[in-house]
Amino acid sequence: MTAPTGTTDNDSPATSGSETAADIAAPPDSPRSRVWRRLFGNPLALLSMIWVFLLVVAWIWPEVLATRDPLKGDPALQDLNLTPSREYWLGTDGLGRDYYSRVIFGAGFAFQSIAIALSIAIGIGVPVGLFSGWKGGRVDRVIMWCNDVLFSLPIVLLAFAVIMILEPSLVNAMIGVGIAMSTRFARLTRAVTLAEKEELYVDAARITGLSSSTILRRYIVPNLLPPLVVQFALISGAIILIGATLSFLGVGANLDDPDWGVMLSRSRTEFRRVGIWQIIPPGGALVFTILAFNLLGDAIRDSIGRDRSSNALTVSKRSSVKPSDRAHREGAALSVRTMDVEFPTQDGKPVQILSGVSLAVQPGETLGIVGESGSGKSMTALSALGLTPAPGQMTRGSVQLDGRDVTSLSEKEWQKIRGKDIGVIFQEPIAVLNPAIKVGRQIMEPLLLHTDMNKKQARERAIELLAEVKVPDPARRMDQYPHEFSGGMAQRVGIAMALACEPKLLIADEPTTALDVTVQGQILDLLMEIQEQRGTSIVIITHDLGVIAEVADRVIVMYAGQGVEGGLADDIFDRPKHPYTKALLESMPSGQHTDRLTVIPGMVPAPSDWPNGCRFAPRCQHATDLCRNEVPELEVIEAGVTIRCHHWQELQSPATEEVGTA
Amino acid sequence: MSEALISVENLAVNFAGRGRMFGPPPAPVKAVNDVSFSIQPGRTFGLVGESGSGKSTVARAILQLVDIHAGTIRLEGEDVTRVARRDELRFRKRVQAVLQDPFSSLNQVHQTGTIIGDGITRHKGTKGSERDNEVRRLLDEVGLSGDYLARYPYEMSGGQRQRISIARALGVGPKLIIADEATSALDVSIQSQVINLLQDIQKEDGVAFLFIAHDLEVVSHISHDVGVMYLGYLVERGDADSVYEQPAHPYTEMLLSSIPVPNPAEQAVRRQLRKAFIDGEPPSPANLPKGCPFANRCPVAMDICTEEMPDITPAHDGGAVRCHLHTSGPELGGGSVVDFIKSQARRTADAS
Repeated sequence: MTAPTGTTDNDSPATSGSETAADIAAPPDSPRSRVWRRLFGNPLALLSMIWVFLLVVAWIWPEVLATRDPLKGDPALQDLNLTPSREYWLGTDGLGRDYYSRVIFGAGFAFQSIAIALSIAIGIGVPVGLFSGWKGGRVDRVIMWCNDVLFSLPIVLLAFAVIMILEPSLVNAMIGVGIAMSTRFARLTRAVTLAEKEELYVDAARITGLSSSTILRRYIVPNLLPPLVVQFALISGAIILIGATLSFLGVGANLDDPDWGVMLSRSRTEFRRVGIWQIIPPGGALVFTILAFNLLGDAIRDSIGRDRSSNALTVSKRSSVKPSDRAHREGAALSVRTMDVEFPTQDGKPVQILSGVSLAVQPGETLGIVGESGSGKSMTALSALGLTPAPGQMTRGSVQLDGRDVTSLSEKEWQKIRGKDIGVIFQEPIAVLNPAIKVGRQIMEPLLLHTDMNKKQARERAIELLAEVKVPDPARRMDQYPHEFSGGMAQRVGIAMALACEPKLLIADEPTTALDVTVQGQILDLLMEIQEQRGTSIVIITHDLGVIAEVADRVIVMYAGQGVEGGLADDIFDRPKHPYTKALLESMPSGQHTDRLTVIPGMVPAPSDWPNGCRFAPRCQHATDLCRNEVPELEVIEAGVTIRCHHWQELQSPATEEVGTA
Repeated sequence: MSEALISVENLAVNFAGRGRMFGPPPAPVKAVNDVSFSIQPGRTFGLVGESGSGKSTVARAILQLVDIHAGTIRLEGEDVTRVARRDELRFRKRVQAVLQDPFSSLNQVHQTGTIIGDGITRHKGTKGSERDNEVRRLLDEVGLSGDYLARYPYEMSGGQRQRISIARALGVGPKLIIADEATSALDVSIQSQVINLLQDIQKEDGVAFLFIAHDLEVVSHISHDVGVMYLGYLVERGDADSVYEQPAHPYTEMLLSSIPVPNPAEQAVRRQLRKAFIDGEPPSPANLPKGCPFANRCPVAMDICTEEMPDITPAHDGGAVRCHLHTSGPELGGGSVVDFIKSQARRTADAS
């Protein structure tokens, strides 16, 4: 199953780095309704469904669609109406039987084939696969070995074998086909069972004490259904084709039956008189039916798969950005002023996920952006770098890089800046590195792209960089692949890549969240050392107030798409002004196990449910009617010290502070 | 000491290497080695360690989800190392778990009523509206309204899902709940809600917890007793305050000084302490060194540390530590190692 969307994923920090368009903008949506929406949105799938529906009608009530008896012909007409006429829409066959009605009745034979073969295939394949996958080990190996032997036999051969043992008929042939097809279902079922068995919720069910049969029935089979339905559609097409082939060869349906394969076979005798005409109706029915099943199978598979469009980080173009009314900070390495970012939604009303975010980082300074997931901290960094994921849009604001306005640069111009003037460090170092390319080569990449170094110089520089980020034995490590690096070492490589072109600004998005705590310390030390040596400005984005306390000079606390408080790190930790900052600090456990933790009730609301007034008001113990009705403006107390709260001044006085901490 | 609810003695878990087509099978990975601890009824034992330390494997061993190589686990005096099939239900009724990932530990195809209710039906035979009422009572206990009965996991946030997991565990009426990184994936403000909830439940139902996490601050906040794991070994064990304030193992001290605290002044002190430790990474569990597995990162390692695996020696009051410093070298005798590390660090600083 895919990751949830909208409101459902607000409080897991692991996902904060990957807030995609769909995660933010889409309303809560059940996986099931999403599948249907996508399926009906696909025109080919819709056509296929209509076709299959018509076939089902032709199968269940052929009289509704057919005009005449498919078996009774009028011998007198036999030579007159071979081609279409007003009376006989598709003409008649050589025995004077209405060709149109025969094609309609043919659907029944096709579905009969599917019904027999599929029920045998699923009836044998699914239980075998479930058993094999659940048992695992040696049992699984033996069963799958037998299954693979059967799998390697041609399907038609098995059908012939059954016909030889019993007698030639479509039913018997389909029994053979069903047995052959069961191997496909067994494989699929086993693969799903093996995968599901490792799922945490199966462990949870075992811990609860549920029996194996209950777990299989209630937990594994429901997850088996989607891939099974896909196979169902694809294999149905194949079964119709095999049935028609066998009938064509004369070992399937009876010679008089209105079966499409039989009709194709008979059309050969009429070939001299009417040319290829008689091949077209049954042939067309076959082709369209098989095509419809295959298209339907593909469409179902696509619609239950992960949403690709929301997954890729496509950058949105910047069209009309309203300018900011706040002046930029003098001499800042990066300065963002009152930035709004909006995402369109299905109902047409855009959702604002960043509202008036401002930040500034001075040369050689570290700015920490801290917030819970859903606060918009990662989106702030992405948008400042011109990387607002599509279909999101920066609608207001101004961005300056080292005094240069970069608000509406094109993606091409940005590419010259990113990697050269700005280095970016990501949360998952291993995921950022290409597993198929040697690490050294990946560090050389930005050097070759942004500088005029040749390969040899770039290699030497890359070794220097690895040494600088304290990767032991850098020359040897250059020729290793990413999987040979531990998480901590891979993050050092990530930092080396970010530093390659000696940028003046480093942006680190949760750079230590995926690392162990003892390794985290090493990486933070490294970042601080680099800053000391090079005077780099660093913007570090994290959910961990401890990391902020460790490295940041200045802090911006974000909540629900807004900066709520900004200032010097020491001041914010010593004397937090905003009730949210205060509550966040108090809710962190600190070793002493006697006292109860302070709790912020409720959770961060989704962007579509942001309250009208102060966004923190519903969770704030000091909230008044003013807070609930009126949006607090960001108040600038002095340069770099900001607060967004109606009551911060009253809350600063000692009397209320006592109430606040009680 | 009163009778322990659960006691784990000399537990060892090996993972067989992946079978190869040719040649001998690879040596097994020793995930858990010689781990012993016990939990009293109604108390919380915290197990802390970094990834690869084997802390989750200990949980899975108790929960019968992995094969146990050696050692004994006793539940209320009864041997539950390998629970026979006919005893499994009785065992499951007493030991429940809340697992880490609040999303994947709930099956997406079922509503809350089924997720929580399945266990109730299994263990108590309650069905229909009676079962629904029981589920509503449990939802109320974990702070959710009865409306959640008909919700699917994807309609809930991480914190809510974790409450459902807790309700599912409680529904069976267990004496021990194993919480394996149960709060690690949650935001700070949600984490504190869940931690308080667990403490409330303990106060009310008298259930014992095995609380497993990588964050020593969280673990020592919630636990009465704490065990610290490193590379499959329990390197230190003792009551939470002692371990937190007077760590007897250098690794515990490293772990403590590595956790950043939201207080710049204190953080500067921790950072200074952290500098004493050697930049380096733990050896691979598939290829453990002969001596102490922490020796290559330990600032106060002695010659004996790379030669011999230290034995368990008493530390704190009733605790234990696995470190040579307490029996040879400075012979700290189970006391805090902090001052010794500081003095050694000063000496190296002076020398250079």
